[in-house]
Amino acid sequence: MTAIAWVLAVVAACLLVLSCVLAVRLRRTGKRITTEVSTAVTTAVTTAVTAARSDQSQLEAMAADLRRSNAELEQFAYLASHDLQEPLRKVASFCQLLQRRYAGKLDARADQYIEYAVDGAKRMQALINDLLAFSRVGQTPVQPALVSSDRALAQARANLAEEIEKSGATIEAGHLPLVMAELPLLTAVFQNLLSNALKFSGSAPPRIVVTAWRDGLTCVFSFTDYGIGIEPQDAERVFVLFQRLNERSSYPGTGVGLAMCRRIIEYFGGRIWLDTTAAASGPAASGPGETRFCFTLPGESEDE
Amino acid sequence: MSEIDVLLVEDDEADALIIREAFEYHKIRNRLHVVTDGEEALRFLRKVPPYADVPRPGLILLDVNLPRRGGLEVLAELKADPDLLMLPVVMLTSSRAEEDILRSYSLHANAYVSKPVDFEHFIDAIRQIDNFFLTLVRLPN
Repeated sequence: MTAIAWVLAVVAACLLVLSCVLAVRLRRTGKRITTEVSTAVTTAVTTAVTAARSDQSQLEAMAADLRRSNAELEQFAYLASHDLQEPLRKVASFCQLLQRRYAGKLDARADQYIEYAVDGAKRMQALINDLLAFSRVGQTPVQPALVSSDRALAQARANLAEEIEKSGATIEAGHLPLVMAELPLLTAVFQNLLSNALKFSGSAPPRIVVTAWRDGLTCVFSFTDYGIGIEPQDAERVFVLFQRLNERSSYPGTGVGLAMCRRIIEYFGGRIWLDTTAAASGPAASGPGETRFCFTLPGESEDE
Repeated sequence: MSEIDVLLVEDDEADALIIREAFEYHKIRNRLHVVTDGEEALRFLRKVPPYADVPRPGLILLDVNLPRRGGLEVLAELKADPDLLMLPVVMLTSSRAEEDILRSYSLHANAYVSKPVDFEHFIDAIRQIDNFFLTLVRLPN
């Protein structure tokens, strides 16, 4: 709308110039006509400019509305997940107490009921915890500073040390650059990607390759594993909150991890995507289940 | 080892029961006394009727969010009372607010423990509090 209004304004301005030229030519023959034409054109210009301005301010108002409703939604997600934890803790605690105290003392059916109740409550706790972490991204804005992505990866590896050891995974990572981010959030990105690579590794011990390079002021990271893979048509779906591609019994999880990664990376002004060319790059270069996530983050400026 | 009296100031009955169960589960030898608000807690500690005959507790577990007088208010009053200020106070609460933690310590709380969300962790926290304050450390008699 705004663009159209501005075009109208420009057209009207051209008409005004044209009418001035005409006016000079018509001065002798018909002064009255000139006046009428120029008045009409002036009115048209004024109307078009006013329309453009009102469109502009409408757009600004809409953007402000959107920002406000977004902020409200985030606040809502935060409060909901925070306040839901308290009653849920009760449900989970007493189900667990029932289990501790009465497992094997009632009948088999009762044991099963209790088991399902405990399992459901625990799963909901995991969901709410993840949702809370998700909604917390950017809640307390910190001035972005240069952080070492080497350190973030090391921290993520330490947090997952047990899983890494148990699965016999090998992680190959070169030197990773400094990026503009926050260490805990960048660690969370690495930890989510690592944890997925470990979880979806298939039967062989997981192998994970992390590389990074600079593209101007941007740092590009690639995170590759050789597990069960992701179909190209699911490339976008994996980033959607609570979306899961596998049945829960074989691959537990809440479906928050990659949505969280995207939220964090975009919060720092970067992009994250599934590189669908990875698996198709040829049988010699890759197995059928090669999965490669790439993301960008602002890097160090040249003079630093 | 003689039994110790623990005063729990907790308005949430369910939480009070969980704490009681945790003490029992770990076979901790203590007598747990529960009051449900700050006003009652101060009466208990000052032996104001109906609490004329209650024992003096060796440890106080104090929730932050209490009706009427809040936990922090009770803590301030305890620590300003020469007769009560020596009693160790553990803030045991579901609040994780940084502000509550800071205020508790600046009011001389002996420890601040967030109630863990997970039940197993919760009863483990109780065990650890107990182990530290009721077994490991020497408290004034």
